[in-house]
Order: sequence, then C-alpha cells, then structure tokens
Amino acid sequence: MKNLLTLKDLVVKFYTYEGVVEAIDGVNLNLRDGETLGLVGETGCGKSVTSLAVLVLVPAPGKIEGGSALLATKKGNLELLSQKEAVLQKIRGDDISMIFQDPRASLNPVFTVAEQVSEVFFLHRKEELCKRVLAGLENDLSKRSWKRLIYKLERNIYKKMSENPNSWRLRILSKIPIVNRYQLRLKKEAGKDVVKILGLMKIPDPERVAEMYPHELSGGMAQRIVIAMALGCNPGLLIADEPTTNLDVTIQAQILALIRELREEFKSSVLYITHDLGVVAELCDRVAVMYAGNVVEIADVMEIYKNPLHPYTSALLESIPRPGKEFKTIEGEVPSLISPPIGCRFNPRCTKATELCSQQKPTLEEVEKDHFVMCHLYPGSSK
Amino acid sequence: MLILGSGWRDQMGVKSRFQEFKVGIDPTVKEIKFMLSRVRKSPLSLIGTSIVVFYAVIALLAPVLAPPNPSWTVTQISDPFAIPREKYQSTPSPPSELHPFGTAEWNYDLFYGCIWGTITAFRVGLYVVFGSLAIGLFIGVVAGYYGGVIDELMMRFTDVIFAFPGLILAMALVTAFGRSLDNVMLALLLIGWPSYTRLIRGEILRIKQEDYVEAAKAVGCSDFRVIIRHVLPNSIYPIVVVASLDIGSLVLSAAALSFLGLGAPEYFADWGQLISTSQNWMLKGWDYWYTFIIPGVFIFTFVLGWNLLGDAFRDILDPTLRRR
Amino acid sequence: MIPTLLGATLLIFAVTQLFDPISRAALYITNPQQFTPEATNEIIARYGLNDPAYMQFSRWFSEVLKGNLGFSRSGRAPVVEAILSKIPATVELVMYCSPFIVLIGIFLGVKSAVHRDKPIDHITRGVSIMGSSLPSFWLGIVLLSVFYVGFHVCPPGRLGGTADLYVMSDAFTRYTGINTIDALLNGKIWIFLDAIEHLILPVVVLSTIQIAYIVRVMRSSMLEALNKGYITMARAKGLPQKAVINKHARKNALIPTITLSGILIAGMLNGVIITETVFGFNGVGRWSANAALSMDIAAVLGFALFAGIVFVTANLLVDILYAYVDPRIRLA
Repeated sequence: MKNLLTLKDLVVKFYTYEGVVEAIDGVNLNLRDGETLGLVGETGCGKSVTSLAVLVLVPAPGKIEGGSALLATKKGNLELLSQKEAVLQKIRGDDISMIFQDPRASLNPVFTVAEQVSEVFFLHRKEELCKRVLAGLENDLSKRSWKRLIYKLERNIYKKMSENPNSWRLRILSKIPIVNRYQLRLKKEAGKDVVKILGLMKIPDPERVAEMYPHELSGGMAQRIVIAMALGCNPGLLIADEPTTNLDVTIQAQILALIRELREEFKSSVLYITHDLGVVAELCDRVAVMYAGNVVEIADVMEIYKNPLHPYTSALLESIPRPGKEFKTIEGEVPSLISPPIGCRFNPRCTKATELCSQQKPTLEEVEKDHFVMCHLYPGSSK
Repeated sequence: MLILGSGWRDQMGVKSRFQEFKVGIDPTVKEIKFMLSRVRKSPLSLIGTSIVVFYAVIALLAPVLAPPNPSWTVTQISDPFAIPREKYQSTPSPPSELHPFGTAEWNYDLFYGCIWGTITAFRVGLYVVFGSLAIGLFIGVVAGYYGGVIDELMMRFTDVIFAFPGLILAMALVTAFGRSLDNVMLALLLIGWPSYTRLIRGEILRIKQEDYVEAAKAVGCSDFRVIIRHVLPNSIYPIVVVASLDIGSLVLSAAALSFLGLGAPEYFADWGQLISTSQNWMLKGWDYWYTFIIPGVFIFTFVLGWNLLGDAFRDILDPTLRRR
Repeated sequence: MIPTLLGATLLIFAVTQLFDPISRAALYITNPQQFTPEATNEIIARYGLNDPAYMQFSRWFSEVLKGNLGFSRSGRAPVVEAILSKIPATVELVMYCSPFIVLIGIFLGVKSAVHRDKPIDHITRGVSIMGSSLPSFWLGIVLLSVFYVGFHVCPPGRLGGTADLYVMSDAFTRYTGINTIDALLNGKIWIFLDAIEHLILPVVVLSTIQIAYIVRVMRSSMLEALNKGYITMARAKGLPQKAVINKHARKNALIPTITLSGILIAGMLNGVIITETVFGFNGVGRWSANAALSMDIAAVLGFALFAGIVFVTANLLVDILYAYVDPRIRLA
C-alpha cells in the first residue's frame, strides 16, 4: 500500500514572549492511500500544529524549522514544505482539505452559505464551470432572441476565461459594475454544484440552506457545510481537526456516520485528529498516538487496543473510565514545551523509565509488524 | 490575598505570613513585570511616558522657571496665571534675552504664558477627566447594577446628551454660563460624564452575568461588596485606556474653545488663548512666527504624550494582543 | 429616535432657562425692530416669559415646530434663515472632505493591519497619532502662514475678490449655493478653479483629524478580523492572501468602522466650527462661533438644536447602513 502522506522529523517552534515553545520536535507519520488515520493525544500535544504544518498554515509566531512533508501525487512525491505559495494554494482545497474544530468560527458571518461553498469551485474548478457555461451559451445562441448580441459577448468572455482565468483584461472587466453581470452565469453554474454537494451532505432542502447566513444554522448543519466546502473538489486527503468536539453527542454520531459514508463515496484518505478514543475505535483504520510534540506509537486500531506497546498508550487506555473499575489517572503533568524534559519527553511520568530514558531520545521504529513505537524499552528504538 | 482552605499552605511549603503574602502576590507581580517589559520594548510608549513626565516636571517647577511678578500683570493681584507684561506694546516682539519665547500681542511674555499654561493644561485635563469619571462611574454603576427604571432613565438621559456633537453643546453651555476657563471646564465635564457612564454600564452588564459574581452572591456577599471587589477591578482596564486618551482630547477641546474666545480671558496663561491673539499677526508675515508656533508646539506635544500613553495602555492591557 | 429628539429639545430648553427673560425674548423675535425695550417687554408679556417653565416650554416648542427659532442679533436675520443661507458653504466643505476621509482612512487602516509591525505600519500609526494630537486650529494657522503668507496661494475665504464680486452680480445664477457646482453650471471654469483653490487648505485641515481617527479604528478592527477562524478556513481552501484580506477580512472589519462613522459625523460638525473660523469660510460653523462670542443665545441655541437634529438623523442612517452590511442585524 502506497503512502499518500509522509511526515519525517517535522519540527515546529513558536517564538513567544515566554520563550521558544518546541511544539513539535521530530514528528514521523505516514498515512496510506485510502486509509483513515486517527491522531490522538491530550490537549496541547501538537496535533493541530502538525496538521497546520502539512498545509504550511502555521500561524505566527510559529515557524516550521525542519523536516519534510511528502505528498504522493501523479507526478511523484511533492515536498510540501519547500513549495512556493502559489503551488500551495492550488493544493489546498483541491488535493488536501482541512476542516476545523468550531464550525461556526470557520464560516464568515457576512457571506451566505452558497457564496462560501462556491468559493472552492471558483478557485479550483473554473475551467469546468466555464465549459458548462459555454455549453449553456451555445444553447441560448441557437434560440432566436434579441439578446444574441449579449450572448456573443459573453461567449467571448468565457472563452477567454477558460484559457486564461487570470488575465488582466478579465480582472478589469470584473470590477465594472454593470458589465460584470456576466459573472452571474458562472455563479449559477457554481450554485448548481453547491446544491449538489449540500445534498450529498444529507442536508435537507439544500436550495434554501444555500441562501442562508451562518448565524442561522445549527452547529451540526454548520459542520456539514464546512465538510461540504472541504470535499467540494474531491481532495485525496481530508484533514479533520476535532470536527465533532464542539457538538452534542447525538449530532456527533450523525457527523461521524456522514464521514464514514463520504469517505466511501469520495474515496479520500482521512487524517482524523481527536482526543476521544471512542471515536477512534469507531472510525479509524490505524491510530497514531502523540505526546508532547512527538508521535510515540502508530499501529492498527485493533492492535493498539489489544497490545499497546508504549507506556503512555497503555496508561491512556487504562485511564478510560469503566463501570466497576477503579478510576486511574496518569501521574504527573504534561511537561512545559518551553523547557521540555531531556531525552524521552514522557520519562518523568513513565513507570517503566530507565536511566537511558532521561538521557537520550528514542526514535520511532517498526518494532512489530506494522507497529511503530518510540521507546527505549524496545530494541531498535535506541540507536 | 485571602485564599480559602488551609491545605494549600502545607502544599506550597509556606511557613510564615510573609511568605503567604509573597505567594499570593506573585501572579500580580509577574503581570506587572510583564507589563513593564512591554512598555520598555515599545519605543512609542517610552516616548509618551517621557513626554508626560517632562511636562509634569515643568508644571511642578513653574514658580521657579517663570516667577510670577504681580506688579506687571493686568490684574495687579497675585494670580500666578496672569501673564506679566512690562509695557503696553501692541505688536509682538521676537525672542530675546528678556523674553526667551518672545512676546504676544500687548507684550505678554510668551515664555511665562507657556510654562504656566502647562499647569493650566494639567488642571483642565485632570479635573475634567476625574470629575467625569467620578460622576460617570457612580451613575453607571447604579444604572448597570440595579437595572430597571433607573437604568432606563439614565440611559435616556445620556442618549440626549449624546444627541449633540460635543463642541457645539459645550459652546452653548459656555455662552449660557459666561466666558471663563472654569466655565469651560464645567461645560466639558457636563458633556464628558456620559461616555464613562456608558462604558462602565456596559462592563457591569457583561460582568453581572459571569459565574463568579453569582458565586460571590451565593456565598453571601452584599451588593456593595460585589461591586467593589469583583466588578470594578475587572472593568478598570478599558476605563484607564479611555481616560488617558480623553485627557488629550479634552485639552484639545478646551484649547479650541479658548481659541474661539470662549475660554480664558486675554491675560490668562492658557495655550489656546495665546494662539487666539496670534491670529491677527499671523497674516502679516513670518516675522511673528513665535506667537503661534511656540504655544502650538506645546499643545501638540502635550496631547501627543497623553495619546501615546493611552495607546500604550491599550496595547499592554488588551489580553488578546498580548503574549506575542 | 423620536424620544431622543424630544429629549434634545428639552435639554436646549433647559439651557434657555439659564438666561434672564430679556435675553430669552430673543428666541421669539422675528424682526430687528423688536429689540427696543418696549417691544421686548411686550414679548415677555405675550409669551409669558415670566411664567412657570412648563408653560413656557409648550409655547416655545410650538414656535420651534412652526420653524421659528428666534432672531439672531449677530446674523441680523431670523435664526432659521441665517442657518439656511450659510449651509451651502458648509455642505461644500464636507462634500469634498468625505471621500478623502473614507477612502484614505480605510485604505491605510487595512494596509497597516495587514503589514503589522512592518515599517508601513509604524509610519501609519505614527502619522495617525500625530494627526489626532494636532489642534485643528493650529494646523490651519500653520498651513495658512506657510502657503498663503509664504507662497501666496490658497488664501482664506471662499472666493477671491473678483470671483466674489462676479458671483454676487446678476451675470451669475445661483443654483445650489455651492460655489464649485454653481461655477460649473454657469460654465465659468475660472470661478470653479478659484473656489477649489480656496477649498484646498480647509479640506486638508478638516480631513486630517478624521482620517487619523478612522485609520486607528480600521486597523484594530482589521486585526481582530484577521484573527478569526474563517480566515484560516479561507486559506485552507486555497484562497490567495490578497483575496483573503480584501474579500473576507475587510468586509467584517468595516462593520465596527461604519458604526463609528456616526462619531465621525459629530467630529465633522465640531471641526467645521474651528476650520471655518480659521479660514474665514462663510459657513454655518463660523457664524455660530461668532454668535457665541457675541452672546447671541438665539443663534447659538438654534444652531445647537439644528446640529442635534442633523446628528440624530445621521446616526439613524448609519444604523440602517449597518443593518445592510451585517446580515446578523438584518434578519433579527
């Protein structure tokens, strides 16, 4: 199975007033084509930063300092971290999409749903839209009407657009008030796509919803629309950053069911970030566990529940409250990332820590078949 | 700092009352240190602070820098704000040894006028701001906390005052009260308090809903205690910012009113008044530059200092813009 | 809006009560002959100016509703007539200031926020802080002395000597009272240019202070908008940075700016008084300043009432504009 996304030794640092926060310190991850990989960890362990780093969207004062993020494309592997902004803009939304935790915050309150969802189509599917508009124009031209002159002009404009969408002539034309009504055709075509994809999201009455404003939507509806925006151009990879954390449990179940259906239909791989182990069990094929800026274990979902190798993972699984069982917690606190512990970052809290653990940092190695761990307890990890 | 429960003392290894005090105060000290470092790092706030301090020093040293001389003043009484003049010369004279900044129309010493004008500016700014603050806070707290009819009435009243552009209403009031600097201050105060009322009322309404106010009331705090200990400290920051920016704009308004002739009388040490008389001479040529440039620079830098200070406060005290 | 206007008239009336009956008589006089002591006494008797306040209020209010704000001693005309005759000059001034203020203010505010902490930001903030610390009358005087006294251009007043005479003669038809428009309508380009020359400095002075204010507000609301989640979402969709700023952030940042344009209008009404006085511009501001100086209460209070009405109406329009821009308000 091919790797769609490979992260190697990714390093991200935040330069703040209180010091340099080493948010991510050598993250290694691989996401296979067609699979759903869950990324779990406590709040603050660096899951969101990792996903933002993939799209090179880490906000200031954060900086991507090292490592590589390879995306497998038809033309071979693409190093995302060294691409120009223009190339990245083509990839975002088209090859890799991202949805965020708070759906209401992801929607701009002054634009309608249709305007925001059609934005992805305008960005990445302009030629297709133009072709459809031109086909519609040919149809209109074949009828006899006094508007033939206008249609001929519009045909010229759209031909130009399908060849060179960014020409300066078009840019000027689009700013003139009455002339830029030619864009209405494009908006109508995009509108059809919007309604189609809203329907795929199981949103009832999509035409009406398309004209609504974000503040009129419920949380679950808003999240569906955000997912619609993300999947609009059928990306190969969908990154979902805790998409159901802010929603009610019942809505959460609906959204999860939706995601399951959609990944079948769209055939996309999903990087699902969450801190909820239950969701992981339901949705994911493989799981990656993160702690304090490192990926400490990657394995198949069933495997990790049956046979957790890293001490943190086993402590995490033990701490899941179960009726009849005593409530267990992990001793200690998450370390400050400004002055992280030397060596393995989990060693202050680890029950099985050795001398080596506080001196040298282990590396992520394949210890058993398809089961990666970053721990000195397992040979191969300490090099 | 009162912290309930006694277990924390053992946990933190606190042995004496003094240590207890230090531990309790520690977060506040850290905040203050952070704020001071932000001030140090931002050159504009340093400039603002130094300007304000500079003028404060001038105001305090005024009797030394420009000693009053009653025999030469118009009023012939010991009013230090009356600018002395030696003779009845109508044309201004340029800076010289005797008159470092020159003289204005009717031979008023500009140096004296500008130095004592600093005290006038501080007086106007501080009296009016603190007066408006006091009245505004009181009415705002009452309206915000008790709500209901009182709130409605107060809000209608402030609405009415807000219906007029400030300077115009001030003009009308000064015409009614009579022309003097004190009346200008009174007029500006009457126009100024509604903004503070609105501000504090908004803050109170916001904080009233917070859980810790409910908690305090549940524990049995009286209304008064809740306001003083919980509501006011949390709404202080925006008020500080607004007040420091207000001082600057108040001095500008007072100067404008004096310039129009509605404020201080001709002999009074007030920057706006000094520029007012310079109008006649300005059109006659650049020879009389000192009559309006010098007092104007004083006003400009004074207000600039307070504006920079207010901006610095806003940047420092705004929690969303910190920690970058 | 109505209760506020009523309250405003009440406030003005309360201020009138601060004067003695003789001065108050000026509020009811309709022609200059009535300034004699006998006529004044007659007016005091007729309008019952020694009666209790509430009775006076109803009488005064009905006069106001009839459009009679009294007689202005300094303007030598009924207050309403004086205001109306001088309004075109003020409108002309405000007319030319507004586009500059709006366009430059918004543009600089956006640029400053987008390039935060870079040189352009520091320069803009520095200039805007200095602009809001300048006394407008001082700026006017300095500019006048530099350009008019120094370079002999941009004189004070509305028109130069010859243009003024021409405008008052029969050869020139007054359509609006706004010199620039009238000059174009009459086809006299030289008068148009003359009016523009006289307008440059007052417009600069009046705009500078307001631009400084708008830049600061726009900058801070833009910074807030740029921190929001939908900005990251837009970038994650592949939107180029420029479009993110211009399309998503700016529209949201305009909302608080629009609400503050109400305060701007107040600033204009205030600023007009000073600017017109400094530049000898014969508008409503200068007239009211003169009236205040000569203790002409009818004029001052009439102007205050007028300004209040204008301001409240303007705020209402701003509220409507606000609802148009922000869909959350619209559908509530």
